[in-house]
Amino acid sequence: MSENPLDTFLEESRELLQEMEDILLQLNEDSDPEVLNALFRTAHTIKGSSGIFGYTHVVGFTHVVENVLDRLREGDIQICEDLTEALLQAGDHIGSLIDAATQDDGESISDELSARGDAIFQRLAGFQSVGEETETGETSAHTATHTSTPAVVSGKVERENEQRVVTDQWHISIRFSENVFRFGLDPAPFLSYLGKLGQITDIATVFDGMPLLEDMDPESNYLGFEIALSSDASKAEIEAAFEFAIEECTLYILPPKAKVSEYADLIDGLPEERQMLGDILRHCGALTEKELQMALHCQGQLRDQDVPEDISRLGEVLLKQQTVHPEVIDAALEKQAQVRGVRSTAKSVRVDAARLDKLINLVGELVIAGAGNQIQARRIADEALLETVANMSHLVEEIRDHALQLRMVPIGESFNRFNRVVRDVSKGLGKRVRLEIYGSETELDKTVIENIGDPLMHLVRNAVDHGLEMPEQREEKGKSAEGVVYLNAFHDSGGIVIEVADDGAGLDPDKLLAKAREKGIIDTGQEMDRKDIFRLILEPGFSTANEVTDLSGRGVGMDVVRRNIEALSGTVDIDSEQNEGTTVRIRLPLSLAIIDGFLVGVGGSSYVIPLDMVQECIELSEADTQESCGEQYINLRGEVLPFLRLRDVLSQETSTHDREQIVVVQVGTQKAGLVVDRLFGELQTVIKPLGKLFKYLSAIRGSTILGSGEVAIILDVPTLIHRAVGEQHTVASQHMFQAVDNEQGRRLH
Amino acid sequence: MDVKKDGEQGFCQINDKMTIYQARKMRDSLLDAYDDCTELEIDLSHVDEIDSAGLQLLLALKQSAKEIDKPVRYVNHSASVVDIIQLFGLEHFFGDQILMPSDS
Repeated sequence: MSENPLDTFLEESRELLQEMEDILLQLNEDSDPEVLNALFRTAHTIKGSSGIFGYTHVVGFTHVVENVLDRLREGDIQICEDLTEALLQAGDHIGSLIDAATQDDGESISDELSARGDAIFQRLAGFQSVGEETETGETSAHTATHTSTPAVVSGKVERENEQRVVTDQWHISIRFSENVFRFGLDPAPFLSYLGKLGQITDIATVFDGMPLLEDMDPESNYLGFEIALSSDASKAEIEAAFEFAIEECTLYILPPKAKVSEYADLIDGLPEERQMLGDILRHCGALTEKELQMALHCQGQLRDQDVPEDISRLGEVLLKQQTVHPEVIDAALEKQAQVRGVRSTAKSVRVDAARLDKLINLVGELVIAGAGNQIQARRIADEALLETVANMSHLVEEIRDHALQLRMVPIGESFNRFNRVVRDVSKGLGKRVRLEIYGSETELDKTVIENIGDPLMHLVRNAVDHGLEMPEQREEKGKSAEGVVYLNAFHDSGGIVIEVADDGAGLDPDKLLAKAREKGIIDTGQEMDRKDIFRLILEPGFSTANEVTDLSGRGVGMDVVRRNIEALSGTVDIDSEQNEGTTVRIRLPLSLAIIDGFLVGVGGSSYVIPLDMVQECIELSEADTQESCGEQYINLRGEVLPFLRLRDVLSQETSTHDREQIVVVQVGTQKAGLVVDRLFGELQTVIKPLGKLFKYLSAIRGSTILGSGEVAIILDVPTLIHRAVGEQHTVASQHMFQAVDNEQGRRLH
Repeated sequence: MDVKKDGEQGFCQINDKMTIYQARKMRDSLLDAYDDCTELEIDLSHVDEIDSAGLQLLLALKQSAKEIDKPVRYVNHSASVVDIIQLFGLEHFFGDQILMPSDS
């Protein structure tokens, strides 16, 4: 596989974190054990893969999370609101740690990040201690798996024939740095956590470097610890207990029956006076008097060597001295096996997005070439040739559809993350909100999905924040205290519609209108229909002030939402009933790359109208034109249909063509007619963006190359309809398209 | 922090948390009380939260007092104070009478 393993790791971790979050959000007391297992595996796998890349911060933190999840699946602790919250935060934090680690090679993490991690760590540690108490001191399932440690070590004693200490306890020396408090870390929880790994049989707090009260900096740390720990835990596990503070401490972990020389190293590496330190060690039961003398003697010989200063170098030294235990290596192998397992069971293949784009681009060219073939074949009029060309174009069409499908992603995934948003926002506001998701299997183009995230986020937040009332207010109105935000997606006439709705207070058209007048967005005398009034909140600067009222605040940033959607060739509509709620409806094209088009001719040029917007074609008769008395609308089976002469819009030379055609186009609920000279029929088109020069042309969406090599302009139908329907605010056209506009029901399935 | 004086003997009661956030202020208050008397008794019953920084202050005060043989006593340790003293294995150093909760 040629892909970068780091990218795979990143992607995989993100997916796993997402899975973790999804599970957490739906977790309750009677969740299936299999679900808890899956939850545990997410953290376990992340830890494993991070370990392979050597992201020690991630491993350290995830380890704590994994431990809690392990207890959870073992039934030692029960899920509760607090735990879910803590674990959700932990999940986020793992994400941040991974980002930080991959950005700067995992060498260091920012103070802020480690402070945040510590806060979560302490929260989680709380859960671990609860679990510990209920367990009445039994060793946890996790540590029990490493009972083989002492046996392995004693085996080595005989082999190596070097003087070893008699104690069968771990000895841990730790000196926290002066700045540890400033980084938001507190040594105490680390010690508490260590107590969970086994029994702290003795502990000495070392504070000889501490100045007198008047000279000390109360925000600096002067504490260090010598700890004797009786535990079956592995070295990696003990080390992981301090993983968090690893940048901010000097740590030595000596296994049971360590070599005397290792103690000598330790004594040498620590800042305290040697003899005094030796006394502490003896006091802790780590060394006997005789061993101490040996160690103190031994250190003279070590003088010439580099004294290990930091943990990673200590790690190297330990490796050199073969004190890294076999189980550490076992654990690493297990992690790798785990990752391999994930790979082989994966149902999908990861493809670089750039390759996919290239493929789609080529398919686009193929479509154009195919169209050229067809034209040539028709000219030659050889029947056999025509047949093979028809066959081929059929296949090309299929290839095109499948290639586009590759880019299609169900929207569900991006919907699901709003569970978390709704939860967090509502919690912060003291509201009770339920998120209901419909149509999550609806597929749309990956680029569209990527770009729709922010606007949707804005809308969902708005709905929770400004749309829904406080529980008391809701009850007063006779609604249930729990508000509902709906997210809905469905396909509709060649596009996709995404709705963000709430059952909150709704918008008050009168207030909106008053506000718009006050702000000078519309003229005082101007009348507007409901729909357009609601659209006012999409206007820039409509409402930014006093954000607390039910009216204002709703519009904050809505113009940004509209801009984002319009950049994706989409439209935004708003529907609202007072006290029943508000629906924001976003309409987007399915794909941005290839469309089925309808080719028309105006003057000497060809234009493409996206086929899915074309409703029908009719002839514009002389009578119709007469009837309309110069006004730009006709009577279409009793409906008022505004129309636009493309010839005028596009400033084409007036041709003498006497039979004009009307192409009836529809976007959403708005219909209009486009008057053209000739109809050529359907064709597939690959949208090519126009150059920067044409950026400000509003009626044009892009261009395409016809089979004949000619360039055809793709029309931006929504803009044209908008223009045909008339200036938004002209009273004259208002009543005309009200008829068109009348059917506006909310579309929530 | 409430400070009372009875002749040269000072009594003070700490009525705040003893964490890193209070550390700087706490040190100054402790130092004032300490400088102002020949014997000091500090009531810790209202310290409902203490972290390593807080404990470090208690250590530093005790240590400084030992240097010049000024008696400083901590009394009525709250549960959080007892917990952290035990966690750090400092019962002997403080040498004060700690009322242990019955279950430990």
